[in-house]
Amino acid sequence: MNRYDVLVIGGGLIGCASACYLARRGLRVFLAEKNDLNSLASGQNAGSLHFQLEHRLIEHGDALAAQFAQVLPLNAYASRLWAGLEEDLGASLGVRMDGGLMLAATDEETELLHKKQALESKSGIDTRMLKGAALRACAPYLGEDVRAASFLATEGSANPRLVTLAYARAAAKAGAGVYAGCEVAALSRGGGVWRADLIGANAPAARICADNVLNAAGAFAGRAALLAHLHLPVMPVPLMMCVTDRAPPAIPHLVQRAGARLSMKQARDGNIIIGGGWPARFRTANGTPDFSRRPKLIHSNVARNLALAVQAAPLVAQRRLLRCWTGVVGVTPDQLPYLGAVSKSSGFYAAVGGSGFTLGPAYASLMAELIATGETSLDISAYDPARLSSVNGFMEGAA
Amino acid sequence: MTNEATTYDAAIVGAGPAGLAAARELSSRGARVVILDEQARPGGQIMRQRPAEFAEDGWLSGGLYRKLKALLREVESLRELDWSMSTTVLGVADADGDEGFVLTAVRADESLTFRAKTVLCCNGCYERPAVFPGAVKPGVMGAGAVQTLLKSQKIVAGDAIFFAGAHPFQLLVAAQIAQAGGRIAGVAFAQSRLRVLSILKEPWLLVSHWRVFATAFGNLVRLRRAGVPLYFGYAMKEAIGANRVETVILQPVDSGGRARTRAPTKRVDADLLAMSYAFEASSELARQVGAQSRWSELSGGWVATHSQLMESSVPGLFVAGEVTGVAGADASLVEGCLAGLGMAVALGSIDAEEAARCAAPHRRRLRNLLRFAQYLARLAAVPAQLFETMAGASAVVCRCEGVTRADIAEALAGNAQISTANSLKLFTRAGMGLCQGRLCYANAAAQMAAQRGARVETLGPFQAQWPARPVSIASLIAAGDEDCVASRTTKIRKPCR
Repeated sequence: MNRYDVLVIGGGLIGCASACYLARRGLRVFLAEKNDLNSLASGQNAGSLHFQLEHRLIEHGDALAAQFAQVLPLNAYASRLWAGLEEDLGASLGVRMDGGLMLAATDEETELLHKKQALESKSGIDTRMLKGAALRACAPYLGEDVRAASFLATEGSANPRLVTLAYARAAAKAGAGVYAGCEVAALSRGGGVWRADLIGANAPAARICADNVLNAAGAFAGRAALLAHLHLPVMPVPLMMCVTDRAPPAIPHLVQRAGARLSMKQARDGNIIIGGGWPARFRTANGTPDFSRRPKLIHSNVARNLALAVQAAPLVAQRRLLRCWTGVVGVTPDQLPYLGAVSKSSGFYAAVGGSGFTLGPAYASLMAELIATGETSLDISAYDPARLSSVNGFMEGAA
Repeated sequence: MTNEATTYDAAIVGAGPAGLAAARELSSRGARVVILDEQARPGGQIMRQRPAEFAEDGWLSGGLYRKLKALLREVESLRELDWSMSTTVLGVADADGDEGFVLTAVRADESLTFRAKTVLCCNGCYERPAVFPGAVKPGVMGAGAVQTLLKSQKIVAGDAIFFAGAHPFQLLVAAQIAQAGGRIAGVAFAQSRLRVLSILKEPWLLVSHWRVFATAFGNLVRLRRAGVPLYFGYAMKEAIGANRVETVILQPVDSGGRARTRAPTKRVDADLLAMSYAFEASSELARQVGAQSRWSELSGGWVATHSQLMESSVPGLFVAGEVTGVAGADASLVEGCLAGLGMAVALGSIDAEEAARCAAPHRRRLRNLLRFAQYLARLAAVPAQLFETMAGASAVVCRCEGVTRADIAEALAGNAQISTANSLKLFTRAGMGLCQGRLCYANAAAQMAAQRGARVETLGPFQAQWPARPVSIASLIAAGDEDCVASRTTKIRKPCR
C-alpha cells in the first residue's frame, strides 16, 4: 500500500523523463510536482539542443574549458537519444537536428572556436570550421560581421512546450503515478525506507513510502535536498527569453555566438526564439529574493540580446518582438551537473544542473539505469554528487 | 548618454473618461501628469474623436454624452498636462531601487520610456469574440469595431449589417449605423424577448436611469421604424460565404443557451456580421506589474482589485474604469475621480482625511452606478450554455495561432496534468500569438472549465507578458543603442485640435 521503489521530486523534463525510464524498467514510481508539470525552466527554456561547448563554458580560459570538456561524452549520448525520441515517445516534439553554428565575429572569437574544436575532436564530437564562401553557402542569412563559425551537424532544437508532457504521458502509460499539484512537505527515513508526507490539491495520499528518492527539482533542488537533511548547492539564476512574430523560413540552424550571449533558432511555426543567458532580476520580498514570483525583465538586456541577434542575422531587425518571458534555471557552483547518489547509504539521488534541457533525457536515462541496476553504461563519475561529501559527510544519517 | 527624463508625479494610461477625470483631479492639485493613449486624440472608445480636420458640429449628440464631452473639453484645455497620444504602452514595471514606475511605450515605431511616481491603468476593455463556424471569415467583426469605424472615420463598415449578440450595446451601434444611413439586415439577441423586456419589472431603475432607458428605447424605435427585423432567442450557428460573409445562419436557443434542435434555423443575407456578446477587462498591464485580480464572470473576467481610492495591490499603482470591472463610462468617470484623489494622497498633496471627504459624494454615486451596471450585466449575461452551443466541435478559438476547439479538447483529454490556463497555452499555443491571448483567453478557459468540470477562477489568467503589443525590434535596438532605454527623454505634444 502506497509503497514505491522510487519517489521522483519534480515534474519538469528530468523528473518526467526519469519517471518514464524507471517505470519502463518495471520499477514502481511516484512523481510529485507541487505546481503544474513543465511549469518552470523545463517549459520556459530556449529549447536548444547544443552539443558544442557553450559560450559560458569556454569563456574562462583553457584550464576550465578542459574541465568542462568532461561533459562532451554526455553530449554525444544525449544527441543519440534526441535523434530517436519522437519515435520512442510516439509524439511530435518539434525535434529539429539540422545543424548548429557557433559564430565568431572577432579574431579572438575565431581563436576560441579553434581551441574549442580541438577539445571537441578529442571526445569524438565532429565540429567543422566554416569560413568565407562555404560559411555563406551554409548560412546565407548571416550578417557581414560574422567571420567564421564552427558547425556541428547534430545540433538543433526541440519544443520545450511539448517534451515534458510527452514523457509524462509515456511514464503514466508505463505505470508510473504522476501527480501535479502534489508537494512533498516532509521526508523522513526509518526501517530502510523513505516516508514522504504529501500536501496539495491532488495529493492521492497523505503519506507514501519509497525505497529511493530522486531529486529532480531543478533550480529548487537545494530545498528538496534539505528535506532529506542533505546539502545540494544549486543556485537559482533568473534568465530571460525573447520571441518574434512569425517569419518566413530562413534560419534552419541553432545559432550561437562564441564570445557573447546569444542563442537563436526559428521554430517550425516561423517564430524566431532569441536568448543566450541574459539575466532577469529576482523580485524581492522583505529584502530577499522571492522565488515564487516570476523574475523581472531587464529592458536594457532585451535590447542587447536583440542587437546580438540582428548582428548575427540582420533579417531579425525586420521582425516584431512578440513576447519576452523570464524563468529560473539551477546552476551548480562548478557548472557540472549532479548526477548520481547524494547519499549512497540511503538511496537519495539527484539529477540536476548543467544543460538541463539538452541533457535532460540523458540524465533521466542514466539515472534510471543507475537506480535499477546500480551501474551505468556511460561513465558519469565526473558528475558524482560525492564531490559534496566534504559537506554531506556531516549531514548524512540525520534524516 | 543623457539623463534628462522627467519623473512625472502621475502617468495615466488611457485617455477615456477615467483617465480624463483623474487628470483633472491631479492637475487641479498641481501634480505633473502625462496621459498616454493609443489613439491620436483623447476621449477613449466612448468619445472617440474624428481627426481634427474632420471635426463636425453634431459629434456624439444625445444627453448620454453631454457630461463626458464637457469633461473632455475641460481636460483638453488644461495647459499644464502633458499628452503622449498615438502611443502604445508596452509595459509598466516598478522602478528598481527608485520609487515609482517605468513605463515602456512605442510611438510611430519609436521606443519611449516614461518615469512616474504613480501610475493609473485605465486602459478599458475589449470585446470577447464568439467562437462559431465561420467566425474568422472576413466580414465578421465586433460591434465595437464597427462603431469605431463609424465614430472615427464616418465609415459604415458594410452594405447590409447583421448584429448578433447578447449585449444591449448592439442596439446602440445599430441605431447609430441606421442614423448614418447604413442598412441593418437584422439584430439578434440570444435572450428571449421577455428577458430583454424584464427591465420593466424594476421601476426604480427606470426612474434613476431614465436617460439610459430613453436612449435604448429611442434606439429600438428608430430600428423598428427603419423596418429592421429583431430576433430574440437566436444565437449564431454559422457565417457562410465563399470568400467573406454572405449569409448568416441563426440557431434558436432556449433560456439556458442550449440549441432548440426542433425549431427551424433562420438564414439572413448580410455582408457584415457585428458581434456583441461580452466585454473583457483589459487588466493585463496592471497584472504585468503584479497587481492582483479576481474573476468576475459578469463584468469582464479577470478584473483588477483595488482599495476605496482605487489603489491596486501594488502600492502606487492605481486602476480605474473597465479594468476594475466593465460598468460603463459614467462609472469609469467616477472611478477616475476617486483614483485622482487616491494618487494625490500617495503623492502627499492631500491627506487621507481630506481625500475621504472629497471622495464621499463620488463613492455614493459610484455605488448607485455599480448597482445599475450589475443589473445590466445580469440582464446582458450570456446564457450559461450559449458559447458552448455556438462553438461546436472544431471552430477556431485562437485566431492568431489557428488553434481549434478540437485541438484544445485533444490536449486536455491527452494530458490529465494540464490544470491551469497557462499550461494549456504552453501546450497548445492558444494565446501565444500577436494578440497575447486577449481574444482567445475567455473562450479557451471556458472550454477548459467545461471539459475539466472546474471553475474558470481556479484556472488562472494567462501570464501577462511584456510587451503588451508586438513591437518593432529595430526600434528597441535603436533605443538601446543610446544606452538609455530607461532614461530616454521623450518628446511630448499637446493634443491636436
